[in-house]
Amino acid sequence: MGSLPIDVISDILARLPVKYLLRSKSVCKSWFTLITSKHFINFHLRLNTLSSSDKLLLFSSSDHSLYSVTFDSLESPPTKLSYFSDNGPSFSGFGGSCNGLLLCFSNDNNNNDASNNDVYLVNPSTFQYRKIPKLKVPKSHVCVNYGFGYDHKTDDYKVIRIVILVYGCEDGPVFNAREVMVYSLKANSWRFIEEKISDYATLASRNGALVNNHLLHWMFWCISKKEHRISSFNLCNEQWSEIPMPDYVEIGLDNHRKGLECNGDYKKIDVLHLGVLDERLCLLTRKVQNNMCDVGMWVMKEYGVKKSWVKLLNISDLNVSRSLKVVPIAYSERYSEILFRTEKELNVFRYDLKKKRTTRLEIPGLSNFDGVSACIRSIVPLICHGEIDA
Amino acid sequence: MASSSSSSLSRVVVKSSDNNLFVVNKKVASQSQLLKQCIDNMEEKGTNDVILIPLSNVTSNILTLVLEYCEKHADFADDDNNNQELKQWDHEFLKKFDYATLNSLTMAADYMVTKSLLNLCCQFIADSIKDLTVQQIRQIFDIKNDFTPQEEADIKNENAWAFR
Repeated sequence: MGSLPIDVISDILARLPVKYLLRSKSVCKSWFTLITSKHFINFHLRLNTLSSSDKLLLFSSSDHSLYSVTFDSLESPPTKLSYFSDNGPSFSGFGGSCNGLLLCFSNDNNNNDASNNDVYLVNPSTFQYRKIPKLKVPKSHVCVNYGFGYDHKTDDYKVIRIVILVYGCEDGPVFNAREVMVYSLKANSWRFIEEKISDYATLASRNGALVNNHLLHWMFWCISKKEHRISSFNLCNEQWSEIPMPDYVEIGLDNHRKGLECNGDYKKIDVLHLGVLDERLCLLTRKVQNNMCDVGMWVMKEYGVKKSWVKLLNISDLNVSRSLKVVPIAYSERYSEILFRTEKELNVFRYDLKKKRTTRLEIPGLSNFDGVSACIRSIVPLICHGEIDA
Repeated sequence: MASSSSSSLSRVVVKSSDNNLFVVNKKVASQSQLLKQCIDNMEEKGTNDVILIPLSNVTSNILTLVLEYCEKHADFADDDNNNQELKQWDHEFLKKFDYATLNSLTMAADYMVTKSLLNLCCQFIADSIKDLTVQQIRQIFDIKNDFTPQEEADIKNENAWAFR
Protein backbone atom coordinates (compact mmCIF):
# COMPACT_ATOMS: atom_id res chain seq x y z
CA MET A 1 0.00 0.00 0.00
CA GLY A 2 2.95 2.23 -0.60
CA SER A 3 1.16 4.66 -2.85
CA LEU A 4 -1.59 5.92 -0.56
CA PRO A 5 -1.54 9.71 -0.15
CA ILE A 6 -0.54 11.03 3.27
CA ASP A 7 -4.09 12.29 3.96
CA VAL A 8 -5.44 8.79 3.53
CA ILE A 9 -2.66 7.28 5.68
CA SER A 10 -3.58 9.84 8.31
CA ASP A 11 -7.25 8.85 8.04
CA ILE A 12 -6.34 5.17 8.54
CA LEU A 13 -3.96 5.73 11.47
CA ALA A 14 -6.42 7.99 13.31
CA ARG A 15 -8.81 5.03 13.48
CA LEU A 16 -6.31 2.76 15.24
CA PRO A 17 -6.72 2.19 18.97
CA VAL A 18 -4.25 4.43 20.85
CA LYS A 19 -1.94 1.55 21.76
CA TYR A 20 -1.43 0.57 18.11
CA LEU A 21 -1.23 4.17 17.04
CA LEU A 22 1.69 4.74 19.43
CA ARG A 23 3.34 1.60 18.09
CA SER A 24 2.99 2.91 14.54
CA LYS A 25 5.28 5.79 15.44
CA SER A 26 8.16 3.33 15.01
CA VAL A 27 7.22 2.29 11.45
CA CYS A 28 9.18 5.07 9.70
CA LYS A 29 10.19 8.69 10.05
CA SER A 30 7.32 10.10 8.00
CA TRP A 31 4.74 8.20 10.08
CA PHE A 32 6.46 9.41 13.27
CA THR A 33 6.31 13.01 12.05
CA LEU A 34 2.68 12.56 11.02
CA ILE A 35 1.50 11.00 14.30
CA THR A 36 3.30 13.54 16.49
CA SER A 37 2.09 16.53 14.46
CA LYS A 38 -0.40 18.95 15.98
CA HIS A 39 -2.60 18.59 12.92
CA PHE A 40 -2.89 14.83 13.35
CA ILE A 41 -3.42 15.01 17.12
CA ASN A 42 -6.34 17.40 16.57
CA PHE A 43 -7.76 15.31 13.73
CA HIS A 44 -7.63 12.22 15.96
CA LEU A 45 -9.31 14.22 18.75
CA ARG A 46 -12.15 15.36 16.48
CA LEU A 47 -12.71 11.84 15.20
CA ASN A 48 -12.84 10.44 18.74
CA THR A 49 -15.21 13.13 19.96
CA LEU A 50 -17.78 11.67 17.58
CA SER A 51 -17.44 8.03 18.53
CA SER A 52 -18.98 6.49 21.61
CA SER A 53 -16.40 3.71 21.74
CA ASP A 54 -13.76 6.39 22.35
CA LYS A 55 -15.62 8.01 25.22
CA LEU A 56 -14.49 6.70 28.56
CA LEU A 57 -15.90 6.63 32.04
CA LEU A 58 -13.05 6.70 34.53
CA PHE A 59 -13.15 5.66 38.15
CA SER A 60 -10.62 6.28 40.86
CA SER A 61 -11.06 3.33 43.17
CA SER A 62 -10.42 3.22 46.89
CA ASP A 63 -7.25 1.19 46.19
CA HIS A 64 -5.97 4.41 44.48
CA SER A 65 -5.96 2.88 40.99
CA LEU A 66 -7.73 4.22 37.94
CA TYR A 67 -10.25 2.08 36.06
CA SER A 68 -11.87 2.80 32.73
CA VAL A 69 -14.80 1.53 30.71
CA THR A 70 -16.07 2.76 27.33
CA PHE A 71 -19.49 4.35 26.92
CA ASP A 72 -20.70 1.63 24.60
CA SER A 73 -19.93 -1.13 27.10
CA LEU A 74 -20.87 0.40 30.43
CA GLU A 75 -22.06 -2.93 31.74
CA SER A 76 -18.73 -4.72 31.34
CA PRO A 77 -16.10 -4.74 34.07
CA PRO A 78 -13.83 -1.67 33.96
CA THR A 79 -10.20 -2.19 32.98
CA LYS A 80 -7.59 -1.36 35.59
CA LEU A 81 -5.04 1.11 34.24
CA SER A 82 -2.32 -0.89 35.93
CA TYR A 83 0.49 1.03 34.24
CA PHE A 84 -0.20 3.85 36.70
CA SER A 85 -0.46 1.56 39.72
CA ASP A 86 2.85 -0.09 38.78
CA ASN A 87 4.78 3.00 37.79
CA GLY A 88 2.99 6.15 38.75
CA PRO A 89 1.29 7.97 41.56
CA SER A 90 -1.91 6.80 43.21
CA PHE A 91 -4.99 8.83 42.45
CA SER A 92 -7.85 9.76 44.70
CA GLY A 93 -10.23 11.79 42.57
CA PHE A 94 -10.78 13.98 39.53
CA GLY A 95 -10.95 17.71 39.04
CA GLY A 96 -12.04 17.95 35.42
CA SER A 97 -11.34 16.68 31.93
CA CYS A 98 -10.60 18.31 28.59
CA ASN A 99 -9.50 16.88 25.22
CA GLY A 100 -8.64 13.51 26.71
CA LEU A 101 -6.61 14.95 29.59
CA LEU A 102 -7.68 14.63 33.21
CA LEU A 103 -6.95 16.72 36.26
CA CYS A 104 -6.33 14.20 39.04
CA PHE A 105 -5.73 14.52 42.77
CA SER A 106 -3.40 12.32 44.71
CA ASN A 107 -2.83 12.04 48.41
CA ASP A 108 0.34 10.01 48.31
CA ASN A 109 1.48 11.69 51.52
CA ASN A 110 -1.46 10.15 53.33
CA ASN A 111 -2.55 13.64 54.06
CA ASN A 112 -5.99 13.93 55.58
CA ASP A 113 -6.40 17.48 54.40
CA ALA A 114 -7.90 17.21 50.92
CA SER A 115 -7.00 20.81 50.11
CA ASN A 116 -3.36 19.82 50.37
CA ASN A 117 -3.51 17.08 47.72
CA ASP A 118 -0.94 16.76 44.97
CA VAL A 119 -2.35 17.68 41.58
CA TYR A 120 -1.56 15.83 38.35
CA LEU A 121 -2.45 16.10 34.70
CA VAL A 122 -3.01 12.66 33.25
CA ASN A 123 -3.69 11.25 29.81
CA PRO A 124 -5.30 7.90 30.60
CA SER A 125 -5.02 6.77 26.95
CA THR A 126 -1.27 7.27 26.51
CA PHE A 127 -0.39 6.83 30.20
CA GLN A 128 1.47 10.10 30.23
CA TYR A 129 1.19 12.12 33.39
CA ARG A 130 2.69 15.24 34.84
CA LYS A 131 2.83 16.46 38.42
CA ILE A 132 1.90 20.10 38.74
CA PRO A 133 4.21 22.18 40.94
CA LYS A 134 2.75 22.30 44.40
CA LEU A 135 1.17 25.52 45.62
CA LYS A 136 0.82 26.39 49.26
CA VAL A 137 -2.71 26.82 50.51
CA PRO A 138 -3.18 30.06 52.50
CA LYS A 139 -3.87 29.44 56.18
CA SER A 140 -7.19 31.24 56.36
CA HIS A 141 -8.77 29.24 53.54
CA VAL A 142 -12.34 28.03 53.69
CA CYS A 143 -12.22 25.92 50.59
CA VAL A 144 -10.03 25.18 47.60
CA ASN A 145 -11.41 24.49 44.14
CA TYR A 146 -9.90 23.55 40.83
CA GLY A 147 -10.84 23.79 37.18
CA PHE A 148 -9.15 22.58 34.03
CA GLY A 149 -9.46 23.59 30.38
CA TYR A 150 -7.83 24.67 27.15
CA ASP A 151 -6.91 28.16 25.99
CA HIS A 152 -7.13 28.02 22.20
CA LYS A 153 -5.69 31.53 21.83
CA THR A 154 -2.31 30.48 23.17
CA ASP A 155 -2.73 26.74 22.52
CA ASP A 156 -2.15 25.98 26.19
CA TYR A 157 -3.80 23.85 28.85
CA LYS A 158 -4.56 25.68 32.07
CA VAL A 159 -5.45 24.70 35.62
CA ILE A 160 -7.29 27.24 37.77
CA ARG A 161 -7.16 27.19 41.54
CA ILE A 162 -9.67 29.24 43.50
CA VAL A 163 -9.23 29.65 47.24
CA ILE A 164 -11.96 31.23 49.34
CA LEU A 165 -10.45 32.98 52.35
CA VAL A 166 -11.90 34.49 55.48
CA TYR A 167 -10.21 37.44 57.11
CA GLY A 168 -11.39 38.60 60.50
CA CYS A 169 -10.48 42.04 61.84
CA GLU A 170 -10.03 42.40 65.58
CA ASP A 171 -13.48 42.93 67.10
CA GLY A 172 -14.52 44.01 63.63
CA PRO A 173 -16.27 42.53 60.64
CA VAL A 174 -15.28 39.38 58.81
CA PHE A 175 -14.28 39.61 55.18
CA ASN A 176 -14.47 36.96 52.51
CA ALA A 177 -11.88 37.05 49.81
CA ARG A 178 -11.21 35.09 46.66
CA GLU A 179 -7.75 34.21 45.40
CA VAL A 180 -7.28 32.96 41.84
CA MET A 181 -4.14 31.31 40.46
CA VAL A 182 -3.56 29.91 36.97
CA TYR A 183 -1.17 27.14 35.99
CA SER A 184 0.02 26.99 32.37
CA LEU A 185 1.16 23.63 30.98
CA LYS A 186 3.45 25.34 28.47
CA ALA A 187 5.22 27.40 31.13
CA ASN A 188 4.89 24.64 33.72
CA SER A 189 4.32 27.26 36.39
CA TRP A 190 1.63 29.04 38.39
CA ARG A 191 0.71 32.67 37.96
CA PHE A 192 -1.22 34.90 40.36
CA ILE A 193 -4.38 36.39 38.84
CA GLU A 194 -6.18 38.15 41.65
CA GLU A 195 -7.09 38.30 45.29
CA LYS A 196 -10.01 40.43 46.24
CA ILE A 197 -12.66 40.96 48.84
CA SER A 198 -15.72 39.26 47.49
CA ASP A 199 -19.38 39.03 48.29
CA TYR A 200 -19.32 35.57 46.73
CA ALA A 201 -18.44 33.13 49.42
CA THR A 202 -18.45 29.40 49.78
CA LEU A 203 -18.48 27.41 46.62
CA ALA A 204 -21.38 25.09 46.30
CA SER A 205 -19.72 23.17 43.47
CA ARG A 206 -16.24 21.76 43.75
CA ASN A 207 -14.76 21.61 40.27
CA GLY A 208 -15.16 24.08 37.47
CA ALA A 209 -17.80 23.11 34.90
CA LEU A 210 -16.18 23.40 31.48
CA VAL A 211 -18.03 24.60 28.36
CA ASN A 212 -16.40 24.98 24.93
CA ASN A 213 -13.05 23.91 26.40
CA HIS A 214 -12.24 27.42 27.65
CA LEU A 215 -15.13 28.63 29.82
CA LEU A 216 -15.04 27.40 33.42
CA HIS A 217 -18.05 27.87 35.69
CA TRP A 218 -18.56 27.82 39.40
CA MET A 219 -21.55 28.39 41.60
CA PHE A 220 -21.08 30.86 44.42
CA TRP A 221 -23.22 31.85 47.36
CA CYS A 222 -23.86 35.57 47.23
CA ILE A 223 -23.84 36.64 50.88
CA SER A 224 -25.67 39.94 50.64
CA LYS A 225 -28.40 38.67 48.31
CA LYS A 226 -28.60 35.25 49.95
CA GLU A 227 -28.79 33.40 46.66
CA HIS A 228 -26.70 31.29 44.36
CA ARG A 229 -24.86 32.89 41.46
CA ILE A 230 -22.98 31.42 38.53
CA SER A 231 -19.70 32.98 37.48
CA SER A 232 -17.65 32.00 34.46
CA PHE A 233 -13.91 32.33 34.06
CA ASN A 234 -12.65 32.66 30.50
CA LEU A 235 -9.33 30.84 30.15
CA CYS A 236 -8.34 32.91 27.10
CA ASN A 237 -8.70 36.43 28.51
CA GLU A 238 -8.65 35.34 32.19
CA GLN A 239 -11.70 37.48 33.01
CA TRP A 240 -14.77 36.70 35.12
CA SER A 241 -18.32 37.21 33.96
CA GLU A 242 -21.81 36.46 35.25
CA ILE A 243 -24.16 33.83 33.91
CA PRO A 244 -27.89 34.23 34.69
CA MET A 245 -29.69 31.59 36.72
CA PRO A 246 -33.01 30.12 35.56
CA ASP A 247 -36.17 31.90 36.62
CA TYR A 248 -37.35 29.69 39.41
CA VAL A 249 -38.03 31.04 42.87
CA GLU A 250 -35.04 30.21 44.94
CA ILE A 251 -35.85 29.87 48.59
CA GLY A 252 -32.61 29.83 50.43
CA LEU A 253 -31.69 28.37 53.75
CA ASP A 254 -32.50 31.48 55.74
CA ASN A 255 -35.86 32.40 54.39
CA HIS A 256 -37.89 29.39 53.53
CA ARG A 257 -40.48 30.83 55.86
CA LYS A 258 -41.35 33.11 52.96
CA GLY A 259 -42.07 30.00 50.98
CA LEU A 260 -44.43 28.79 53.64
CA GLU A 261 -46.40 31.98 53.43
CA CYS A 262 -46.57 31.85 49.65
CA ASN A 263 -47.68 28.32 49.24
CA GLY A 264 -49.48 27.10 52.27
CA ASP A 265 -47.58 23.83 52.30
CA TYR A 266 -43.90 23.31 52.97
CA LYS A 267 -42.00 23.97 49.78
CA LYS A 268 -38.34 24.55 49.17
CA ILE A 269 -36.07 24.58 46.17
CA ASP A 270 -32.37 23.98 46.69
CA VAL A 271 -29.61 24.30 44.18
CA LEU A 272 -27.57 21.11 44.32
CA HIS A 273 -24.90 21.39 41.72
CA LEU A 274 -23.64 23.03 38.58
CA GLY A 275 -22.26 20.83 35.83
CA VAL A 276 -22.10 20.36 32.09
CA LEU A 277 -24.12 18.09 29.81
CA ASP A 278 -23.36 17.90 26.12
CA GLU A 279 -21.45 21.21 26.17
CA ARG A 280 -24.29 22.97 27.94
CA LEU A 281 -24.41 24.31 31.47
CA CYS A 282 -26.53 22.10 33.65
CA LEU A 283 -28.04 23.00 36.99
CA LEU A 284 -29.44 20.52 39.47
CA THR A 285 -32.16 21.61 41.84
CA ARG A 286 -34.11 19.81 44.53
CA LYS A 287 -37.66 20.53 45.43
CA VAL A 288 -39.00 19.36 48.76
CA GLN A 289 -42.74 19.32 49.11
CA ASN A 290 -44.56 17.64 51.97
CA ASN A 291 -42.58 14.45 52.36
CA MET A 292 -41.70 14.15 48.71
CA CYS A 293 -38.57 15.43 47.10
CA ASP A 294 -37.47 15.39 43.51
CA VAL A 295 -34.41 16.49 41.62
CA GLY A 296 -34.73 18.73 38.58
CA MET A 297 -32.12 18.89 35.86
CA TRP A 298 -31.95 22.20 33.96
CA VAL A 299 -29.87 22.96 30.89
CA MET A 300 -28.99 26.31 29.36
CA LYS A 301 -29.73 25.70 25.68
CA GLU A 302 -28.17 28.90 24.44
CA TYR A 303 -25.04 29.93 26.27
CA GLY A 304 -25.49 33.01 28.44
CA VAL A 305 -29.19 33.48 27.61
CA LYS A 306 -31.39 33.43 30.70
CA LYS A 307 -34.55 32.57 28.80
CA SER A 308 -32.95 29.47 27.33
CA TRP A 309 -32.80 27.61 30.66
CA VAL A 310 -35.15 24.66 30.34
CA LYS A 311 -35.97 21.91 32.77
CA LEU A 312 -34.84 18.75 31.08
CA LEU A 313 -36.14 16.19 33.50
CA ASN A 314 -37.34 15.38 36.98
CA ILE A 315 -36.05 12.50 39.04
CA SER A 316 -38.19 11.39 41.94
CA ASP A 317 -36.33 8.11 42.63
CA LEU A 318 -35.57 8.44 46.33
CA ASN A 319 -32.12 6.89 45.95
CA VAL A 320 -31.26 9.93 43.90
CA SER A 321 -33.42 12.74 45.22
CA ARG A 322 -32.40 12.26 48.86
CA SER A 323 -28.73 12.36 48.01
CA LEU A 324 -26.67 15.25 49.27
CA LYS A 325 -25.29 16.02 45.84
CA VAL A 326 -26.30 15.06 42.32
CA VAL A 327 -23.73 15.68 39.60
CA PRO A 328 -24.17 15.22 35.85
CA ILE A 329 -21.39 13.18 34.19
CA ALA A 330 -22.26 12.87 30.54
CA TYR A 331 -24.92 12.67 27.88
CA SER A 332 -24.80 9.68 25.59
CA GLU A 333 -26.50 10.47 22.32
CA ARG A 334 -26.26 6.92 21.06
CA TYR A 335 -28.20 5.45 23.95
CA SER A 336 -30.22 8.61 24.57
CA GLU A 337 -29.38 8.56 28.23
CA ILE A 338 -27.82 10.81 30.83
CA LEU A 339 -25.22 9.62 33.28
CA PHE A 340 -24.96 11.25 36.67
CA ARG A 341 -23.57 10.47 40.06
CA THR A 342 -24.73 10.97 43.59
CA GLU A 343 -22.78 11.77 46.74
CA LYS A 344 -21.98 11.22 49.66
CA GLU A 345 -22.52 7.62 48.93
CA LEU A 346 -20.98 7.54 45.49
CA ASN A 347 -23.16 5.86 42.89
CA VAL A 348 -23.53 6.23 39.15
CA PHE A 349 -27.01 6.36 37.68
CA ARG A 350 -28.27 6.37 34.13
CA TYR A 351 -31.44 8.16 33.14
CA ASP A 352 -33.15 6.82 30.02
CA LEU A 353 -34.55 9.85 28.19
CA LYS A 354 -37.05 7.78 26.21
CA LYS A 355 -38.43 5.63 29.02
CA LYS A 356 -37.90 8.42 31.57
CA ARG A 357 -36.47 5.89 33.96
CA THR A 358 -33.53 5.93 36.36
CA THR A 359 -31.39 2.87 36.97
CA ARG A 360 -28.28 2.47 39.06
CA LEU A 361 -25.23 1.45 37.06
CA GLU A 362 -23.79 -1.80 38.33
CA ILE A 363 -20.04 -1.74 37.95
CA PRO A 364 -18.84 -5.33 37.99
CA GLY A 365 -15.60 -5.93 39.85
CA LEU A 366 -15.37 -2.43 41.28
CA SER A 367 -16.97 -2.25 44.69
CA ASN A 368 -15.70 1.03 45.95
CA PHE A 369 -14.64 4.17 44.20
CA ASP A 370 -14.22 7.76 45.26
CA GLY A 371 -14.24 9.57 41.96
CA VAL A 372 -15.78 9.25 38.51
CA SER A 373 -15.28 11.34 35.39
CA ALA A 374 -15.98 11.22 31.68
CA CYS A 375 -13.04 11.55 29.31
CA ILE A 376 -12.34 10.88 25.65
CA ARG A 377 -9.45 8.97 24.14
CA SER A 378 -6.78 11.24 22.75
CA ILE A 379 -3.05 11.40 22.18
CA VAL A 380 -2.71 14.99 23.37
CA PRO A 381 0.81 15.06 24.84
CA LEU A 382 1.64 16.15 28.36
CA ILE A 383 5.36 15.86 28.11
CA CYS A 384 7.43 17.80 25.63
CA HIS A 385 9.97 15.90 23.64
CA GLY A 386 13.23 15.07 25.35
CA GLU A 387 11.54 15.44 28.71
CA ILE A 388 10.68 11.80 29.25
CA ASP A 389 11.01 10.32 32.67
CA ALA A 390 12.39 6.84 32.08
CA MET B 1 -31.19 7.47 -25.77
CA ALA B 2 -34.29 9.61 -25.35
CA SER B 3 -33.41 12.98 -24.05
CA SER B 4 -35.63 14.44 -21.38
CA SER B 5 -37.35 17.73 -22.00
CA SER B 6 -35.79 19.46 -18.99
CA SER B 7 -32.07 20.05 -18.64
CA SER B 8 -31.84 17.27 -16.06
CA LEU B 9 -29.66 14.32 -16.92
CA SER B 10 -30.71 10.82 -15.99
CA ARG B 11 -27.54 8.97 -16.91
CA VAL B 12 -23.85 9.59 -17.44
CA VAL B 13 -21.07 7.61 -19.07
CA VAL B 14 -17.90 7.07 -17.08
CA LYS B 15 -14.67 6.02 -18.77
CA SER B 16 -12.02 4.04 -16.89
CA SER B 17 -8.27 4.53 -17.36
CA ASP B 18 -8.16 1.42 -19.57
CA ASN B 19 -10.85 2.90 -21.81
CA ASN B 20 -13.90 0.90 -20.79
CA LEU B 21 -17.22 2.71 -20.70
CA PHE B 22 -19.76 2.41 -17.90
CA VAL B 23 -23.29 3.77 -18.14
CA VAL B 24 -24.30 4.93 -14.70
CA ASN B 25 -27.60 6.37 -13.60
CA LYS B 26 -27.46 9.75 -11.95
CA LYS B 27 -28.53 8.68 -8.49
CA VAL B 28 -25.73 6.10 -8.37
CA ALA B 29 -23.13 8.48 -9.82
CA SER B 30 -24.06 11.14 -7.26
CA GLN B 31 -22.56 8.96 -4.52
CA SER B 32 -19.25 10.26 -5.85
CA GLN B 33 -18.79 14.00 -5.26
CA LEU B 34 -16.45 14.14 -8.27
CA LEU B 35 -19.09 12.72 -10.65
CA LYS B 36 -21.85 14.75 -8.97
CA GLN B 37 -19.87 17.94 -9.53
CA CYS B 38 -19.46 17.10 -13.24
CA ILE B 39 -23.20 16.42 -13.56
CA ASP B 40 -24.14 19.62 -11.71
CA ASN B 41 -21.83 21.66 -13.96
CA MET B 42 -23.36 20.21 -17.10
CA GLU B 43 -26.90 20.72 -15.84
CA GLU B 44 -26.11 24.34 -15.07
CA LYS B 45 -25.09 24.80 -18.69
CA GLY B 46 -28.48 23.35 -19.64
CA THR B 47 -27.17 20.56 -21.85
CA ASN B 48 -29.28 17.59 -22.82
CA ASP B 49 -26.39 15.56 -24.17
CA VAL B 50 -25.22 12.49 -22.38
CA ILE B 51 -21.92 13.42 -20.78
CA LEU B 52 -18.76 11.39 -20.71
CA ILE B 53 -16.59 11.58 -17.62
CA PRO B 54 -13.07 10.17 -18.05
CA LEU B 55 -11.39 8.88 -14.90
CA SER B 56 -7.72 8.68 -15.76
CA ASN B 57 -6.74 7.21 -12.35
CA VAL B 58 -9.19 4.34 -12.01
CA THR B 59 -8.97 1.00 -13.83
CA SER B 60 -12.14 -0.80 -14.90
CA ASN B 61 -11.63 -3.54 -12.28
CA ILE B 62 -11.64 -1.00 -9.49
CA LEU B 63 -14.30 1.21 -11.08
CA THR B 64 -16.63 -1.82 -11.19
CA LEU B 65 -16.18 -2.18 -7.43
CA VAL B 66 -16.72 1.50 -6.70
CA LEU B 67 -19.88 1.48 -8.78
CA GLU B 68 -21.10 -1.70 -7.07
CA TYR B 69 -20.71 0.14 -3.76
CA CYS B 70 -22.42 3.29 -5.09
CA GLU B 71 -25.32 1.29 -6.49
CA LYS B 72 -25.97 -0.37 -3.13
CA HIS B 73 -25.68 2.88 -1.22
CA ALA B 74 -27.86 4.85 -3.65
CA ASP B 75 -30.82 2.81 -2.37
CA PHE B 76 -30.33 4.17 1.13
CA ALA B 77 -30.76 7.68 2.44
CA ASP B 78 -27.67 9.73 3.29
CA ASP B 79 -28.24 9.43 7.01
CA ASP B 80 -28.78 5.71 6.83
CA ASN B 81 -25.15 4.75 7.40
CA ASN B 82 -26.11 3.04 10.65
CA ASN B 83 -28.54 0.73 8.92
CA GLN B 84 -27.62 -2.79 10.06
CA GLU B 85 -28.27 -4.43 6.69
CA LEU B 86 -26.07 -1.89 4.95
CA LYS B 87 -23.30 -2.25 7.53
CA GLN B 88 -23.35 -6.02 7.07
CA TRP B 89 -23.22 -5.60 3.30
CA ASP B 90 -20.29 -3.15 3.57
CA HIS B 91 -18.33 -5.59 5.67
CA GLU B 92 -18.98 -8.54 3.35
CA PHE B 93 -18.09 -6.34 0.40
CA LEU B 94 -14.64 -5.37 1.71
CA LYS B 95 -13.84 -8.75 3.26
CA LYS B 96 -13.27 -10.26 -0.18
CA PHE B 97 -10.31 -8.11 -1.12
CA ASP B 98 -6.57 -8.50 -0.63
CA TYR B 99 -4.45 -5.54 0.50
CA ALA B 100 -3.51 -4.60 -3.09
CA THR B 101 -7.17 -4.32 -4.12
CA LEU B 102 -8.06 -2.48 -0.90
CA ASN B 103 -5.25 -0.08 -1.65
CA SER B 104 -6.56 0.69 -5.14
CA LEU B 105 -10.14 0.90 -3.94
CA THR B 106 -9.15 3.36 -1.20
CA MET B 107 -7.26 5.49 -3.71
CA ALA B 108 -10.22 5.44 -6.09
CA ALA B 109 -12.62 6.42 -3.27
CA ASP B 110 -10.27 9.28 -2.38
CA TYR B 111 -9.94 10.40 -6.02
CA MET B 112 -13.66 10.11 -6.78
CA VAL B 113 -14.53 11.79 -3.44
CA THR B 114 -16.79 9.00 -2.28
CA LYS B 115 -16.46 9.94 1.38
CA SER B 116 -18.44 7.08 2.90
CA LEU B 117 -16.47 4.47 0.93
CA LEU B 118 -13.20 6.16 1.88
CA ASN B 119 -14.20 6.13 5.57
CA LEU B 120 -15.23 2.52 5.27
CA CYS B 121 -11.92 1.50 3.64
CA CYS B 122 -9.85 3.42 6.20
CA GLN B 123 -11.72 1.82 9.10
CA PHE B 124 -11.42 -1.62 7.52
CA ILE B 125 -7.68 -1.25 6.95
CA ALA B 126 -7.19 0.12 10.48
CA ASP B 127 -9.11 -2.84 11.93
CA SER B 128 -7.12 -5.35 9.91
CA ILE B 129 -3.64 -3.95 10.61
CA LYS B 130 -4.02 -3.21 14.30
CA ASP B 131 -2.86 -6.61 15.50
CA LEU B 132 0.12 -6.75 13.16
CA THR B 133 3.72 -6.18 14.18
CA VAL B 134 5.52 -3.04 13.10
CA GLN B 135 7.51 -5.15 10.63
CA GLN B 136 4.33 -6.59 9.08
CA ILE B 137 2.86 -3.10 8.74
CA ARG B 138 6.00 -1.98 6.90
CA GLN B 139 5.61 -4.91 4.49
CA ILE B 140 1.95 -4.22 3.77
CA PHE B 141 2.47 -0.51 3.18
CA ASP B 142 5.75 -1.15 1.38
CA ILE B 143 7.66 1.12 3.77
CA LYS B 144 11.38 1.06 4.38
CA ASN B 145 12.50 1.43 7.98
CA ASP B 146 14.56 4.63 7.93
CA PHE B 147 15.25 4.77 11.68
CA THR B 148 18.64 3.92 13.16
CA PRO B 149 18.40 1.05 15.67
CA GLN B 150 18.98 3.60 18.45
CA GLU B 151 16.16 5.87 17.25
CA GLU B 152 13.77 2.94 17.01
CA ALA B 153 14.71 1.77 20.50
CA ASP B 154 14.10 5.28 21.86
CA ILE B 155 10.58 5.39 20.45
CA LYS B 156 9.87 1.97 21.93
CA ASN B 157 11.15 3.09 25.33
CA GLU B 158 9.03 6.22 25.29
CA ASN B 159 5.90 4.17 24.74
CA ALA B 160 7.03 0.95 26.40
CA TRP B 161 3.53 -0.10 27.50
CA ALA B 162 2.25 -0.01 23.92
CA PHE B 163 4.83 -2.52 22.75
CA ARG B 164 4.04 -5.13 25.39
